[in-house]
Amino acid sequence: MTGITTTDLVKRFDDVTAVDGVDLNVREGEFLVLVGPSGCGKSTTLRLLAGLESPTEGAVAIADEDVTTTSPGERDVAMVFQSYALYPHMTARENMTFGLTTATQFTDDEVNDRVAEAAEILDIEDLLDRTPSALSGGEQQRVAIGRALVRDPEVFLMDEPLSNLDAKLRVQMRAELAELHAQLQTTTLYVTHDQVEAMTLGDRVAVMNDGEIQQVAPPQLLYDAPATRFVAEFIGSPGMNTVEGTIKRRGDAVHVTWEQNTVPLPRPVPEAVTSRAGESVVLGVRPEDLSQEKRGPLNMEVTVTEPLGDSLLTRGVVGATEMEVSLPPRSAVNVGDVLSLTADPQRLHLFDVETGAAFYHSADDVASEATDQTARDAPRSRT
Amino acid sequence: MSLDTEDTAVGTREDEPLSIISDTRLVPAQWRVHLGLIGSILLMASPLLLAFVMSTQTVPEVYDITNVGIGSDGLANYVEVFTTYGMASYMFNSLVMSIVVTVAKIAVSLLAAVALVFYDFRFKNAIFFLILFTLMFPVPVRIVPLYEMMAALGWTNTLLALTGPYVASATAVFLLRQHFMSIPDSLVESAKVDGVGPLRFLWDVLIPMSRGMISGLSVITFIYAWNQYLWPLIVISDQNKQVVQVGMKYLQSVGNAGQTDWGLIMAGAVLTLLPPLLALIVFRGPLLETFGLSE
Ligand SMILES: Nc1ncnc2c1ncn2[C@@H]1O[C@H](COP(=O)(O)OP(=O)(O)OP(=O)(O)O)[C@@H](O)[C@H]1O
Ligand SMILES: [Mg+2]
Repeated sequence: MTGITTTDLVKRFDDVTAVDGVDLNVREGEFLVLVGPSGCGKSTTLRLLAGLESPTEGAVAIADEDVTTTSPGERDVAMVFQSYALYPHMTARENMTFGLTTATQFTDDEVNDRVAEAAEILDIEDLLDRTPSALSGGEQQRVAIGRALVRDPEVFLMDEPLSNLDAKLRVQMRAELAELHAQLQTTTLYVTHDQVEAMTLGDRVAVMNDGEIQQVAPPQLLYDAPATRFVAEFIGSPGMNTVEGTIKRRGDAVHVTWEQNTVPLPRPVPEAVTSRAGESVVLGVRPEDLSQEKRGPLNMEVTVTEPLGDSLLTRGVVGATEMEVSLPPRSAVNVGDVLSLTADPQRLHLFDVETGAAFYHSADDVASEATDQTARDAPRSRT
Repeated sequence: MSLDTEDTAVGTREDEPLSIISDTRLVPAQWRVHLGLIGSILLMASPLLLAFVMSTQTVPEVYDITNVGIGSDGLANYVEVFTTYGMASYMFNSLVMSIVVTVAKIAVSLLAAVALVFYDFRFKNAIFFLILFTLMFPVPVRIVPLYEMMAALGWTNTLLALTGPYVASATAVFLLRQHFMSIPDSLVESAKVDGVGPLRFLWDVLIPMSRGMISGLSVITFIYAWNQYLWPLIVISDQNKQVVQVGMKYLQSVGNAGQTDWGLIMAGAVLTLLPPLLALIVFRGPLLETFGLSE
């Protein structure tokens, strides 16, 4: 088994705790994406795995072997850097073979075969004799990935490899990376701050904030059943609307209310919710799960409209809370209008005010799946 | 601004005679500037020109102040310094000394800079400043203790003594350190992850990436070593082991009837000048790069 396991990994720099008790498990052959806002400790986590930093506490295991104190060169990992890190004075081919010729287990013929193979996969056969300065950003990134490929490591570690590319090339390379992984099935940990990249590439996605892992789940589940308020707001573009309200119970019916606005929860309401009647909670609902309805329970005063082509993103205030709603394109909405909205009852989420942990997702199938996932991955977040 | 563009363009031309407009006129528009430049170049080159002129003159011609033309001796002085006065052996000794100093100094400085940039150890900055501190003690200041040390080691009158004191250099360490610091961390880290050892990294990555800096430093070091006078004079006692700068001094005592044979000395001086000049011409590119002056 060639997965990666970290146990209670902590990294402190002087006064900053960059990584704060991370338990991560990348399964064999999996493409796991680590996503989070800038400065949350993603790169540091990756560098701890590569051995470029040594942990303050905790342990790292690769392929079931404790490598916490092993030097980077002996961990059998290959790393792709955001800046590509190609040697400027070497041709693409030399760059790719440089790490290989050190590891003496390969003969010259084998080295050539490997380079040829990697070059074919990445479609850079014609570029092998050029130096990096004669390559475009995308081509350089291919060479950098090629350098990782030829090593045929246990594990790929990639730190925002696409972030220096322009938007179009990024989408293209993203597809190619996905294809590459489908073909090679090498265990990969991929770091990005771009949640679209995370969702499209990852078999599973780990969301990180302030040095802690918030949730690890397949992309759709992450979207449908965010484990914390942070994940809900971070995943999706734009993220989920969250608003603080109170749970009100009237007979069988349960609502979340704030100011004059009321959102009813679908029946049957589970015990976890009814037991909190009267308490403050955070209600979450995605912009696309809100829609216009005559005499709906929510009133939003529009402040900004952003036509995205396939939808009209409308921002406004509901009570005193800013919210976004995704309306059909060409809706007749103007700034200053008051829209009457309703929320899809099957797409509601409740979070604890204090801890931010989710305790209710109204879609039942999602809720049970989320619980399963939690059980499988425990122990996880410490929120 | 009511002027149209054409007017403006013409105005610029007339108002600014110094503007740098390249044209093919026989007398450039900025002839006054050129005259000044030519004058100052002649002034700076005059010692060299005079040395060359004198090297072709006979003794009486040299002492005739008004005679500043090419002399009647032709290249005879040059032949003489080589055949009679052992110039060839001085130059060879200087060449050996300069090459040894250059190679050793670059090698030592490279290793020191690598240690200072890529390794973490205690008191790293203190050590670096200690190295910089030595800039305040050039070889001439240390001559007496150095000589005692060489004598104690039994190295006097050998190549070891001639070159040893020049091997460590704060300037070279400093320049290489600054250069290495400009190399992105990710290159180093990539090498680490790929299991590339430090020596291989030095040889296959750092040195090729610092080629310009290293050749520039080599030229400077070579010329510096070639021009050393005081230390060789003190530590080398055999005339046939002596370097060219001291060899020049021997020429001074050659003249007859109390008249120094300046023609001979100048021929020696011109010859002494040639190797550094050659090095400068060949390596001018990297040299400019070293000082950050290249375009
Ligand atoms: N060598 C270091 N010394 C001190 N602090 C550091 C060091 N490296 C990282 N940090 C701090 O640790 C925190 C996490 O940094 P890290 O580089 O892991 O963030 P990141 O999630 O990769 O962010 P980004 O998306 O911007 O790359 C930051 O607050 C950063 O300032
Ligand atoms: Mg980072």
